[in-house]
Amino acid sequence: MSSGLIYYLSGLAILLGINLIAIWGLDLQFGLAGINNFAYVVFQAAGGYAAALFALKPAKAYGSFETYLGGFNLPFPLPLLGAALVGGLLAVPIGLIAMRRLRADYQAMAMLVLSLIATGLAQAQTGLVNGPTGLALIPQPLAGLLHVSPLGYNWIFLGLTAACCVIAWWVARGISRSPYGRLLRAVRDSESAVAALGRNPDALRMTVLIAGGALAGLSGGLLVEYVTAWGPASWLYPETFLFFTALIVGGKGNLAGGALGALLVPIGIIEVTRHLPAFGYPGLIDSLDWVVIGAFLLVFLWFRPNGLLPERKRVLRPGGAEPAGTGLRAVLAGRRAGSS
Amino acid sequence: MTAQSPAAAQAPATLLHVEGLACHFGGVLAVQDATFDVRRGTITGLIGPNGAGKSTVINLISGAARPTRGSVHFDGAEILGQRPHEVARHGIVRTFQQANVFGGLTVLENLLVGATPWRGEQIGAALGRKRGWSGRETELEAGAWDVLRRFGLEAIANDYARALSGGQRRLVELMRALMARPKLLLLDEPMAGVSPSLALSIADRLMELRDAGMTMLMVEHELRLVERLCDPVVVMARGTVLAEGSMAQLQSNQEVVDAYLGGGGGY
Amino acid sequence: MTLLLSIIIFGVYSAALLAIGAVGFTLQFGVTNVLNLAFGSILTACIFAEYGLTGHSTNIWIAMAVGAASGAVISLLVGHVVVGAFLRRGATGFGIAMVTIAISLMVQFGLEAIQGPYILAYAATTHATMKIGGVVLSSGQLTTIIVAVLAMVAVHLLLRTTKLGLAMRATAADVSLTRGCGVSPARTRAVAWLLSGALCGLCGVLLGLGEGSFSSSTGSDFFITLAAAAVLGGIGKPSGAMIGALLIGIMSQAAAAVISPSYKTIAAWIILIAVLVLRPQGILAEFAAERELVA
Repeated sequence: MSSGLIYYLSGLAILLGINLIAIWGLDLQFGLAGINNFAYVVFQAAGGYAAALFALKPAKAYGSFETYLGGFNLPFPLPLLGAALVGGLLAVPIGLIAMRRLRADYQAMAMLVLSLIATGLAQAQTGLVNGPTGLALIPQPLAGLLHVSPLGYNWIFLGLTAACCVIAWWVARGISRSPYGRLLRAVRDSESAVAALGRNPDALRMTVLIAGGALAGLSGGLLVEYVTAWGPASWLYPETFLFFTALIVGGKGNLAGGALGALLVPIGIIEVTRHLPAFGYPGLIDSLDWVVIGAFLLVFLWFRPNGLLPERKRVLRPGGAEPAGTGLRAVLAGRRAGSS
Repeated sequence: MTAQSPAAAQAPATLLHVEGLACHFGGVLAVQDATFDVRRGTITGLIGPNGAGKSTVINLISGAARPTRGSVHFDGAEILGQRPHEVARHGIVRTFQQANVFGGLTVLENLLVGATPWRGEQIGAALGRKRGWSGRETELEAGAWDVLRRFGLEAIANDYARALSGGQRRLVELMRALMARPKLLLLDEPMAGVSPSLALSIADRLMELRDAGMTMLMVEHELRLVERLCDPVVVMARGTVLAEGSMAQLQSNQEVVDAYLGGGGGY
Repeated sequence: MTLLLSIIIFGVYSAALLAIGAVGFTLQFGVTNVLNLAFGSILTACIFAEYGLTGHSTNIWIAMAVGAASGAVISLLVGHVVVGAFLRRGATGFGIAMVTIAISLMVQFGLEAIQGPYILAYAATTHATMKIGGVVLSSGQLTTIIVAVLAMVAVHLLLRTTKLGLAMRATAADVSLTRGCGVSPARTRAVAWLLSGALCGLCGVLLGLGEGSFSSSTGSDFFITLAAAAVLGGIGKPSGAMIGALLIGIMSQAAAAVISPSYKTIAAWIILIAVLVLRPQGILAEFAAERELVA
């Protein structure tokens, strides 16, 4: 294996990890709780901007070629923590604005409009995050302290990403198999019945929006620190549908499905097509990627709307035996045993 | 008869007192001036012709509809105008006209959601140690299996609720309502669309629950069931309460007979 | 004074453009109960179709004919065939929204693949202009306003005086009412897709010619403003869409003049969000209860 290939694969693994965190976050909101969050990419973007603004020095220090708020030049891991925090906090205003009792498609449209407004504001108000040009030269965690090759740094970043994935996995799994997760699934089916049983569906949806938002923010922070640049072009509204397609293809309501979706959709389609022999003009393949994503979405919605790994039934045995669970091992065991 | 604790024996006989309830929406006066009581340990019937406002009264008590005027006193507290989840926290559980189960959850999971709200359901518990909630969870599961056994429905315990028949869904909704051991059960046409034999079986269960001390307010159209189960019975027509009493008393009340029991109204 | 006049006149022009599309969008929702998020990409496709088929012609009459025709065809394909297939299978609400999203991705990025993320422009031609109290209006803009008014009248007449229009209004209110109409619900829905598509295409070409240039994302950007007009007026009711278009046209023109030009579209979007939050059924709240817009 050439070192170029290893370097490329390590980068791909990092992107896989970042997408895993984002997709698991959306799965909490959409897969478990049934929130049609068509503004999801804004949470990731907020996390990205937070990490950037915490890590960068004030604009003047770079000769003011960019204008933006903040610039606190905080060391690792504060920008990443800030990213997760901001992602979670953003859920509060978005939740209060868009989570009314609206018909499902109407609510989806409301979220979509919020996404567009966010992009519009980021581009129009140049003082916020440097407008359409975006932010560049974002410092990477521990970059100055370690003296390693680019490949070496990739491995370190991969380690960091893997650690964040473990955290995301622990959060998503914990929520999914808990009584809280069960309440979320109940809200997904009938919020009036949930209220009639003494629980507040709005509060439940708000907390999961925050949890998912924090994961989205974390993934945004990691992405920004890896790519070192971030602008509105990186988080246009179709990116949300990339994550939705991953869940619809891979399977929502379970971590294994989300992981499969992450592998097939953001990584699979986009990274694989990057390596086709370049044909047509530069950028043609990027456009075709989106056509393929749309096609995948349509095909799966028709043939397999629950995805390749659908949500598993939680079977409970009398006598308090452990529930069958939803992890990868259970999925494989279930497949072999042929259970429903 | 039931063995009552001394506290319960001294509790006031009236559990729910509805006074002057009114509800306006979309230019329609659905409920004008409803006043009645529900006494402890009874299955109180709420009957009347279509459009009398019975379901609206249930919605007003449970917080699903916004009142224009009136008061609802439950076990010493004024609850009118509170939101549904707040009303439920007082110990009132309601069922819906169309069986409102969680389709994507199994029957057992449905029942588990029915238990009284507890701390292990918070997101904090989900992110903490499993030990923080697994103990209570096991208790609740045992309780759910108990309820299933009492209804003879262990076979469907792990079926998705959406795969059940209409009658089975009603039973699931009822069992789920019982999980929290409510002080007051509001039943909105629990027998609608249910086969006669199943209706009788449900009626028997409800009587067992009443004998064990539970109080119920039940909207129902099938007058034979009302006669069998309910005492007293409240009759509503055109948004107000016409009369209150046993079925026998109501049948000799001319106004009630004209409005509902005699020609025209009811089935 | 000229500023106010300018806001009003260009507001009316914006409103005219919006009204054509918004009425199409709202009519289709009213009859088919589908929130068609692919509407914007269909609009773009019509501009491309007109540009390609007429050889970049700037003749407004040819453009409108081609635009409306291509819109009708594409909309019928997308709505009646594709979305219809999902509907017949029993898909609802959010599932259908995702289907329309998938279609819009394929159409918009398909166009981008064909053309590249570049802007296409019409050859600059000198237009006749008209001056109203210090404000200069091009002939194209004037034509747009007139066409919009004619289209509104035509739609109104169709809905109020023809049997088909009655069937469409009945389907919008309650499908069971259509039994006595003599027109099958399926046919009524097909006509709704056809008609809304024609209005979509008409709106698109007028937009393209009016701006002088367009790209693969033109329709999607315009769609949200158009949807804002429809929702503000009360979705499902064409007269609501006209009122909404007028309000949004003037308000966004005012925002552009008073705050900054880049706020023209943002203002419309904020209005849309405000409506969805405060009064989702819109001004002429027609469908709040029946369609369960607010659960």
